[in-house]
Amino acid sequence: MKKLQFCEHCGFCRAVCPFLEAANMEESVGPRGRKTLFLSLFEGNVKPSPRLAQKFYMCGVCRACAVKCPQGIDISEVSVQARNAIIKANALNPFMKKVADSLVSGVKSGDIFGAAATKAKWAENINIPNSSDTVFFASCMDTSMAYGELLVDVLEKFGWAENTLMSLSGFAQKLGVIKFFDTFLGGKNDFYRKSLVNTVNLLNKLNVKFSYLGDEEPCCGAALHTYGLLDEFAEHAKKVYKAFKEKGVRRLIVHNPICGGVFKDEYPRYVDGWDIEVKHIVEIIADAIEKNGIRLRLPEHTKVVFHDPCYLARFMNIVEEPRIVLKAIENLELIEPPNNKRETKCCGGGGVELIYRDVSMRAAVNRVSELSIGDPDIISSCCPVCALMIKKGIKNLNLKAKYVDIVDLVANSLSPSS
Amino acid sequence: MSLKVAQALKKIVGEDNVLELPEDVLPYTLDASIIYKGMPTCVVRPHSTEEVSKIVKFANENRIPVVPRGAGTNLVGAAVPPNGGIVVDLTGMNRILEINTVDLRCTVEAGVVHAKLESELAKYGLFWPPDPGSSDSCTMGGVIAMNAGGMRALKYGTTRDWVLGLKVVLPNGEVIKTGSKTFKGNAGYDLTRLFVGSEGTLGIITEATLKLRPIPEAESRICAYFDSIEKAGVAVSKIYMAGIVPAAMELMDKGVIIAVNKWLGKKFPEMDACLIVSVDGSKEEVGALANKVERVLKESGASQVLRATTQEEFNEIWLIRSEGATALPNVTGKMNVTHDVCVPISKLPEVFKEIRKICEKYGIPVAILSHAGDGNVHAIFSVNLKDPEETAKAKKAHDEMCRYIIKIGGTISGEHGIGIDKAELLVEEVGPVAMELMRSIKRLLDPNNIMNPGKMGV
Repeated sequence: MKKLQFCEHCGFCRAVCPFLEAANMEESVGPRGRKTLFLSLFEGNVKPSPRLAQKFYMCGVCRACAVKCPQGIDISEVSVQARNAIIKANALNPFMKKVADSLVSGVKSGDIFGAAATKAKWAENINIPNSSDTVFFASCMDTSMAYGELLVDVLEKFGWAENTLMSLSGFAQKLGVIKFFDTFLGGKNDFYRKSLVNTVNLLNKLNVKFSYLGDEEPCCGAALHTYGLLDEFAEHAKKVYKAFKEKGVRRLIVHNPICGGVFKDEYPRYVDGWDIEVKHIVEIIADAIEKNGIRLRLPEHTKVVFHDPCYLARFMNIVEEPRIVLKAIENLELIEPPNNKRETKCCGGGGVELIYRDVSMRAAVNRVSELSIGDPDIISSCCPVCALMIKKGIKNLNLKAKYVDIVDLVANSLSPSS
Repeated sequence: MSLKVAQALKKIVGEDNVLELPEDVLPYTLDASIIYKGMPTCVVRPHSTEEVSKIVKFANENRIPVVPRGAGTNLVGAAVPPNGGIVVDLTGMNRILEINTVDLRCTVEAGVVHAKLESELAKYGLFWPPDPGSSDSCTMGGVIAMNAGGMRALKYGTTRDWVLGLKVVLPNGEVIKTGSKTFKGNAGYDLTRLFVGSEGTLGIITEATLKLRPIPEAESRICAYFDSIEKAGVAVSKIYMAGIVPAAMELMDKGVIIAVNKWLGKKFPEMDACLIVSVDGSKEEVGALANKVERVLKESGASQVLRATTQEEFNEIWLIRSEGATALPNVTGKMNVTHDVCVPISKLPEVFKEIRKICEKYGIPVAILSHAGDGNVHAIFSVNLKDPEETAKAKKAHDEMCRYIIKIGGTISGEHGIGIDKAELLVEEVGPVAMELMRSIKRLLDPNNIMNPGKMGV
């Protein structure tokens, strides 16, 4: 934040903010507007209010502005700090307060969607060696995103008021309705969980020794941080670190880059002595390809466009590895979309989808339109939130392309002998 | 009062397109000048010329100031409302209405972003030559109202040379079309050129028809280092005298080079000045031109001449230019205050010397970044804007620099415009009679002085 003084108000950040674009370029919901409002807030020229909250919560914390800014000023962080100040002033509207409560209780329970009871079920019949200080961190966003998706679908179909939805979600958690969803919606092998299964199988194939914490895997708390619940996040992060240490964890392998990004980039700021190495599965696959030249082949010619998740590219600083992986797959034609690598454009998620669904959806459609430029058969990425939003964008634009996680693409490309 | 204004405006553009709460309008108090501020009574976001017309008509009838605004990237306070009033945010009018590849023209709404237009035109192998540094964000309405320039101006001219016609909402709400769709136009007074660069004081530009060119096939860059900035200034004239018209000639002084080295950890030679010459044209043409440029630079006393042969070298050379302004505040710990003057190119050597002398006198660190090929000099002052004494000294240095520029036959603005920043200085350049003529034009079109009042000294 020390660099805010160097902001020249040049407005270059206006060019890249996906939510400014989705909000029809209205200055107050762009990074430069947020900077002005942030300074006004701390100078006392504007009071914390639900209206002010709207400006800072209509930010996906995607850091596109930080990459574009000539001075490298991260307005995403400004948003997080402003949210924190607004929460402390008790100025959120009732719905957003409910979201905050739900996030806090979800994170504490070990699952952001409150589905901790079923979150490890995907791994029941899978071979996990559990003999290493390297831990595969499955992420509750991946294990339980299907519930989140269902809740949002219900809301969109029936137009229920947000308050009702949040209450319902809380109610469902309490009554164990999640278990019901799990039974009837094929929870174990849902869209998101199958990428985890494939990740584990791949790790086994690559002879990586690892463990899985199962029910005891904590939530990383990323949502607390982005939502501006910074005290809660700091406290939670310390607990998570302690738990990792007690279990002797020295290295984490993630599939969800949100958890990875937060462990790699935010935890060191909040946890003294944080010393746990964080790897993304694409780094491990890319490394194996470069060292051992694994044979990967799709059955037929397939055009694939890769969408860099913000957390992978800008928080974990991983941009070449997904390309090494995809280029190694025979029959796969890789298309680079506009706004790629560090300049990637947010999928429309980043938490905005929880509160401002219209703006979030427009941002998703804008991004998916870009991704579809080369007429791909597959849009690939590796983040559950990107998956959710891209699938929505595909549906909205009625595209023929399918969303396939990069790990699933690799799994589909492995010949039985390799 | 403000409540009534907002209500009336909501009837024109709808509830959602009128902003009046502090949370909504505070971001509209500033533009990229940073130092000029003003709180709007409200902000209105029209989506058609008809809506703009109704807004202006209402404002005129009620004598309310109107401040048109694009992306707010100008550097002279042209888009801030120092006297309050209605800020008309045109960024919602962002359609490219026509790209005509046969007649080589396009028509755009005011809110179209420059870079967006550039990338659309590139699909057809065309470009619109003016290239302001704020391309990624600035809107075409702002580019035209401010008569923006850029690096290609020495070969292609500035905005004024590339606008064929405009749709303008006059201060009484009437809508006029100026110019034509043709490359030549000689029918009556040239109102198009009057509105280009009028900084929102004469009306609101809502649409523009622009002249286009095919993108040159190739470009080459040559970089030369000089042990004195004066020598680099002389080299600029020599290149023209050798019969070459480059696409750009950018000069950066030692202050900029040192800052870039520190900021990016580079090892560019820290000599007094660096001149980057860019030539464009057909592939064959460019090779021959580049050879010639290299020779002239060496003959002009350059200590080192480098030619980019690969894309990497091309980009590497350009870092001194592209990262210069960014590097400075990170190295000085102070804000950049970028000034904009333009002189006949023969005067460049002495101007560089004099600007340094003036800044030294006032104790203001200065770095020079110049579109040297057209005599446009950006003196970048490093100022702690939170220190009133230092800010006042910087203002004095600026005014003294401008007066010196006027004295030697230059102009106080090459491309950034007048706005609030130079409103008082303008008369010193144009003289009282011309100034009064400008004010008469303003009064004729805007008798109630509602359009962007307090700008341009009119």
